[in-house]
Amino acid sequence: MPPAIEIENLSKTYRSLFGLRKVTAVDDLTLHVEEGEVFGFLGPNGAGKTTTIKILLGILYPTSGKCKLFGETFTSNSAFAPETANSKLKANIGYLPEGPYFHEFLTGKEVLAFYGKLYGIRGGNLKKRISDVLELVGMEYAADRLVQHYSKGMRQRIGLAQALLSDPKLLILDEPTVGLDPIARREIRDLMLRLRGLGKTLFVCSHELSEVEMVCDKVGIINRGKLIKYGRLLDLVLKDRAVEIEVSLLSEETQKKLEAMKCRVERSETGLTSVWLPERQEIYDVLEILRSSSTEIVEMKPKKESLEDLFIRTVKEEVA
Amino acid sequence: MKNILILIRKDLISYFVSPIAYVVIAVFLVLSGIIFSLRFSFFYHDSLELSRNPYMMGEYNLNVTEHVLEPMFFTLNFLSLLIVPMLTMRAFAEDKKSGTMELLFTYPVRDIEVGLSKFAACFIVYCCMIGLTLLYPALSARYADPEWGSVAMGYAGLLLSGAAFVALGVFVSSLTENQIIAVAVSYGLLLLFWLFGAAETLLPQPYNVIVTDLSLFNHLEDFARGVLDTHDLVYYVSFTALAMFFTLRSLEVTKWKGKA
Repeated sequence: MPPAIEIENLSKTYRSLFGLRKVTAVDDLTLHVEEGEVFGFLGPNGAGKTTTIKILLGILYPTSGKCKLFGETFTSNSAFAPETANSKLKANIGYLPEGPYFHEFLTGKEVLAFYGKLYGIRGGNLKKRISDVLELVGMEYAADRLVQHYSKGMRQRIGLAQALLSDPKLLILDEPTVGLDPIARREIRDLMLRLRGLGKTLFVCSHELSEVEMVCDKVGIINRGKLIKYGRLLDLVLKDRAVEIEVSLLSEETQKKLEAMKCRVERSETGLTSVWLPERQEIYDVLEILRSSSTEIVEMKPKKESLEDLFIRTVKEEVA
Repeated sequence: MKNILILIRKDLISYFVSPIAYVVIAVFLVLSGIIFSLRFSFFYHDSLELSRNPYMMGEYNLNVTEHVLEPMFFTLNFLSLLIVPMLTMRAFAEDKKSGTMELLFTYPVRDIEVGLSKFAACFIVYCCMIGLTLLYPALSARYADPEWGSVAMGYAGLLLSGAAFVALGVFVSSLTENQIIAVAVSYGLLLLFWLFGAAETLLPQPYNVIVTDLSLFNHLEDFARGVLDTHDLVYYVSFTALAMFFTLRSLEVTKWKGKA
């Protein structure tokens, strides 16, 4: 089965009006997203995420390289490919733009009917589909209100409903939870997990790293147009293993013993002390030292690097 | 074709749910109505004068088509120049600015469908506006006997020149996401094409003929007189088609540049 998304050596250079100034937004980007995967596409502002998404959607042409969706070339810079109105493929892509904006003079239902008709869905099928997606995003109660009266969260939900209209195999979500309250955020996250359960491929671009961490199988971190980290989330974050042991009444002598084992000891004002083990394998030796010195162990927790830690470390390393 | 109809419907709703179409049509009708009533009252006055002086009857052939309706077509055409950019300025500019254009292009629609629907929606509003002026020949018919063939040809000319105005306005709107820029540039270009008509006396031969022939307004003369000249017909159709071609190219360029 071909990957849902294959981006190969993709580059995009923007030129100023007379071509005097060039800005490379995406630089030789290559990545694959398998069908059914949830991919988190991360990067600081101006890193090239939106440009990549636009190329992926066929609304922007690359300077070089190409994107294949489900094995078919969708976007490239060849003279003939720009006609990317490949209806079959487009019907398989749902897109939620960042801060979605819809025609203010339409109701939520009318917005969905408008976009649904562009997919060629008509009559009873369209009605059923609209009611299904409205239920899925929890917007049945406000479907007949004008979009201009919607809150940010409601617009986001209608945007998601719009992306789901054609029951696409691939969903490209640009900041899906931005501006949402914690409950709505949780609901959208649960919805993403449900969609993953239904076998959909999700390409999620977000700054909410804790949420990406909860739903994504694979991540790619892009900075200044280059992909600087790419792989399965578990492989990327579990490389740095550590354990934190919180103890009370740690003597100076025990501390010296622990530090001799390359443990990091941090005393806090609360009277508790954190002991950081660089490698989990040494845990039994450390516990033995603590037991023999009658140190009280308050809490012991494995510390894995969070996606946020990974993101900040990766970007800082790249900048350095 | 189905997509075009869906897009036209949405664009027409956007015109008629906002006050823009109503205000623009109202302004157009008020101005054209005032000019029509003045022309008609002059015609009525001249007719009275002539009826009191039977010796002049043989020399002057006063007829409502020639004295009221024919100049009226030029007036309507000039007013259209002032009004059409206000209709077309939002065609693409608004959708570009709000981001709905970007979303639209992620759907299975082609550039040509989007371009034609924008043109068609504006042109339908323009036709509604011009359609309401049929009241003027209808009123004339109450008191005089207009030549309906000439009137029909005059309206055909107005529709053809209107299509050219709309196509030019839509093209300009596709170049920017700022409606003010769109309206200003449209005015500039339409006035330029109007000024080309004055080149006859200003430029030497044969440039004056070429430049005059490019004028959007000179080609209305035959239509207003009730004459169908294929030269004028081809000019308006070509102008509209060329402007629409540039619109599609502009959409294509947007996809290379990222944003207009």
